[in-house]
Amino acid sequence: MKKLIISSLERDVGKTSLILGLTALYPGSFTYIKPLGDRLVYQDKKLWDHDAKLVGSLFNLHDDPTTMSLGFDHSKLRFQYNRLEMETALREMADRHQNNVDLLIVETGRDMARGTTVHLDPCSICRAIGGKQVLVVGGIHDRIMDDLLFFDRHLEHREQEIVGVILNKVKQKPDFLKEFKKILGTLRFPILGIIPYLPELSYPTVRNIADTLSARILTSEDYLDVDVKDIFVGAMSADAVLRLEKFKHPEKVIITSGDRSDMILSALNSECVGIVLTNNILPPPNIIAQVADKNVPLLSVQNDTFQIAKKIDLMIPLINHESPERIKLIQDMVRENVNTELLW
Amino acid sequence: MTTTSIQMRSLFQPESVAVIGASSSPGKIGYKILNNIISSGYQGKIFAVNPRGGEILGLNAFTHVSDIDSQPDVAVVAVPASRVFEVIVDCARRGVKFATVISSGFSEVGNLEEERKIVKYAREYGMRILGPNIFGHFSSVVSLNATFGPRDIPSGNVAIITQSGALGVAMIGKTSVQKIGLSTIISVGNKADLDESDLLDYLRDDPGTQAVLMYIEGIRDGGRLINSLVKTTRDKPIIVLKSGRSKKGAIAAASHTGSLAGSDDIFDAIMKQCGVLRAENIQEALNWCKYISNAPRPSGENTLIVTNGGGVGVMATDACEKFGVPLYEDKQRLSEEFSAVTHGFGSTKNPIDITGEASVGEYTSALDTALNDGKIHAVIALYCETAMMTSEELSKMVIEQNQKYQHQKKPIIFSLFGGSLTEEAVSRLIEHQVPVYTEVYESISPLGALFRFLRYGRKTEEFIREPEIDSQLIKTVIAETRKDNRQFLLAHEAQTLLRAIGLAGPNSRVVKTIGETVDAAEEIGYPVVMKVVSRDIIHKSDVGGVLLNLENPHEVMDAYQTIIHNCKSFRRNAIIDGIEIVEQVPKGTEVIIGARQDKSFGPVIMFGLGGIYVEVLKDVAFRALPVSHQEAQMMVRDIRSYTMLMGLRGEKRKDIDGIVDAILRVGAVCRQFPEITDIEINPMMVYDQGSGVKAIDVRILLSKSERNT
Repeated sequence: MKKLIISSLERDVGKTSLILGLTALYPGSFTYIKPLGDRLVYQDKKLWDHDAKLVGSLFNLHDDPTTMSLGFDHSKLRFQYNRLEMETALREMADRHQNNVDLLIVETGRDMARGTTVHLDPCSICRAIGGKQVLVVGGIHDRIMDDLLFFDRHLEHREQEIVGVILNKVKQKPDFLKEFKKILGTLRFPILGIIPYLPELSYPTVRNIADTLSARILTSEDYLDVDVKDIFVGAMSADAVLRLEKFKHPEKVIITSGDRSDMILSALNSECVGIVLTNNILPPPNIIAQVADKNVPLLSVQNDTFQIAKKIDLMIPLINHESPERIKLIQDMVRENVNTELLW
Repeated sequence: MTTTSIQMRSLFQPESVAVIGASSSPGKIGYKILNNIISSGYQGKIFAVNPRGGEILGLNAFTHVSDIDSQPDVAVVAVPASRVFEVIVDCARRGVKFATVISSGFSEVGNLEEERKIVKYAREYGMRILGPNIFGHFSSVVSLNATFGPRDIPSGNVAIITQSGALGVAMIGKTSVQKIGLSTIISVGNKADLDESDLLDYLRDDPGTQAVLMYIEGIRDGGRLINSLVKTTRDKPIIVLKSGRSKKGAIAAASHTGSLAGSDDIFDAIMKQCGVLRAENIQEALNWCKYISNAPRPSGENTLIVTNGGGVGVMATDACEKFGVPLYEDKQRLSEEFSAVTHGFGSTKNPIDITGEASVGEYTSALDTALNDGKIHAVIALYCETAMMTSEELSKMVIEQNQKYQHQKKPIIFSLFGGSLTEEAVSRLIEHQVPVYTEVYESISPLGALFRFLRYGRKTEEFIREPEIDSQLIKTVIAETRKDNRQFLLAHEAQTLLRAIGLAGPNSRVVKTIGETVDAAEEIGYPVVMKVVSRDIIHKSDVGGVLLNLENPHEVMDAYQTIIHNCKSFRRNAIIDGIEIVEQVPKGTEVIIGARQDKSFGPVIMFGLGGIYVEVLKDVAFRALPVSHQEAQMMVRDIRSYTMLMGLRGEKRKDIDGIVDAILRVGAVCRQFPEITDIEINPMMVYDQGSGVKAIDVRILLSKSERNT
């Protein structure tokens, strides 16, 4: 059974999305594990990683998602496993499907160092179960190049075999290639693919926002899977907001306090796809009813406006089942931009 | 500062009055007030003060208060705001007892500083201030009209205290038209010094006052007001109108007098607790005042409706239910008594329907029967206009009946409905002080108010004994929290406090590491609940910091991870002080008990059924603390979902005694420790009768500084 360990130097470079694309192109059978979970989902006293469940269910993998990760919190992992026990547990996870599949995909933690204290960093995993590492890098051009060259210069210290590197979410790809093609040619590992940045994949949905904020959904639960292209903080008067150009942008989410009925009604009259009410303040029932009539999701959160705006600003939109178009888009991008023969 | 009832007499029965700012120009307030005093028949000494001196309305005007050779009991100050302080200085030094400051331009426009200065100075000389921003006051006992309202104010036995000047002036006119005589009407305005409590303390002992109507926008000293109300409502009805119920109304009220409206639900509950009757609108308030101040006190509450129209009879039945007027229901007895005076096709159930064919004589017979029946304590007489009676016959009959009923001390109330002839009769009857209305609901509402007033008066005054609590332990817990510079108690501290007040909670431990978590769960026994303990997270459930029903070590470990993850997602820098492992108690009925220091009323307690009953339906009851055992029981019965506690659909009755005991304990700690600003037990699990209650989760907040709020 071949083993591919997908790792990155930085967080949020799109490892999971890449896995969705790569596995769709794999001609054989495969399975997936994510030993150190980070997108925790807890339901009915069961715990799993969001990405693990997504991959498992999209590709009909038979594993119970709760068994695809060993844990999420360092203290829990330290409590349960020492180094030897961790390596044993990893091998058991890896060997579970040895006879059924010919490829194991391992997604590691958010960055190269994550999990080191509990022996779940990419290098420790490679040591424990064998396999080849695929490094994913992404971000602004300078960041990408820093990561690549850092990896290249310190390669001789590494024991594991590196298959290659995939560059993901590269903005202005032609400009990038023009500037850095020469340096890329000097690297001691293959560049397996350069996937351009797609803005469509960077928009969160209202559902993403609701999940990130742990919001209470007051209305229109069926209308959460809509892309959000703009965020607007409704702090000014309704008169003033109607004059603002930004307020007229479609597909936006408005953040405001629940006692701002004027702002809520103004939002309904502009094209908004969701309204976030802060500080647990709810508007009067007649306002809630009007929002429901317009099929606009109304989300109530505990935090104040500043904290909410900050959280939304920092959030990374997650792929989930309710976005099949995005999944297809990712798979198409990987097919067009990655040389998978070198991988398999 | 308090002024005794005897001292207050100088305000209501002054021997001398000075008008500062008196004017000879008819358009000025100073003219109007002086003219009213002179022409209303006041027999005491009247002094006019105007810096220009001269003669005003036949009086020699003094240029300064200090020139007056005696000490006026009351000084009416009608000068521009900028001059009020110097006038107050003069009055105080002259030994004036009360200054009624008509002038506006103080806290209602944000000028609180000047207002405080006036009161402070006055108090140094023992002088009290009414107002500022008032229209004055009227007192019938000495025929003193020291207002700038209408000159002629009919005397009577209703007292009006109003926080609105314009409304008060308008009420003078309205009460006159409706033939409601006043013992006093007095405007409190900004309540910089004297407020409703001071005035009530006088009116309670005033034999000339039989009912008090108060229009309030904001409460200044709720604790004192409660004391005054409770002492008064045993003997005299107090009817209150309070505005600022809605959000916008509250804002308007604040801009009007600079006072905070406060929570209307709490105000409503506390008024009921004090036996005060709260009217929905001015007309209702006036109807109640007029009726209750003149109606005889019935010996019971059995009420009979006598009507010549079936339709209005049914409406009256509905109205009786709405206003809490119990209808006499002995059908057999009614049949025996009233068959003789009812047409065959009428009805002798209650309402007694004598039909539209009834003549004056038949109507009279029916009312006489009711009058002479010892089992009937009050009567509602309804009339729909027919050709069987003329307007004069009707009026005459009603006046006679009313006199008979008054003589036998049995309340009767009339509702006459019809065209111009009936309306004429109604007008005539009002002139004769007969309790008559055109609308059925309008007629029954005052009777309901009368019964409520009497019920409160009959309530036995219970001695309030608070349960014993471990004050020393509570002080220790509070001190530890303060030392840590926190305003809210952590889970284990809150549990300690609960134990100190004698409330049981589930077995629990607070631990730090995952290993300790597993050990604690094993020790306590499964299933367990896990809750985050963090100074940065108050509403634990909302952030996913509480997980239930954990039945083995694996679930405990998963839950540990989840709670840490959720809390860090909520607030990345949240300090996690630990995890509380709590015994998961059996399911019961969830209730919520909370207490807090209300800005207007001081310590207040709340009770309701938990979950949607309190969050969505807002089905809660409030009381001002301290409460008696009886009051706590009534509080539980007050909630609309009380029947859930009595046992529904085969379920057993719940431990209501346990709830009452918990209310008293929580009330005791909130009242005895004002530094506890909020204490909320949510949920408290209530089990079947005799099986007790358990406080599952509690949130306790302290005030900002160590000094009491």
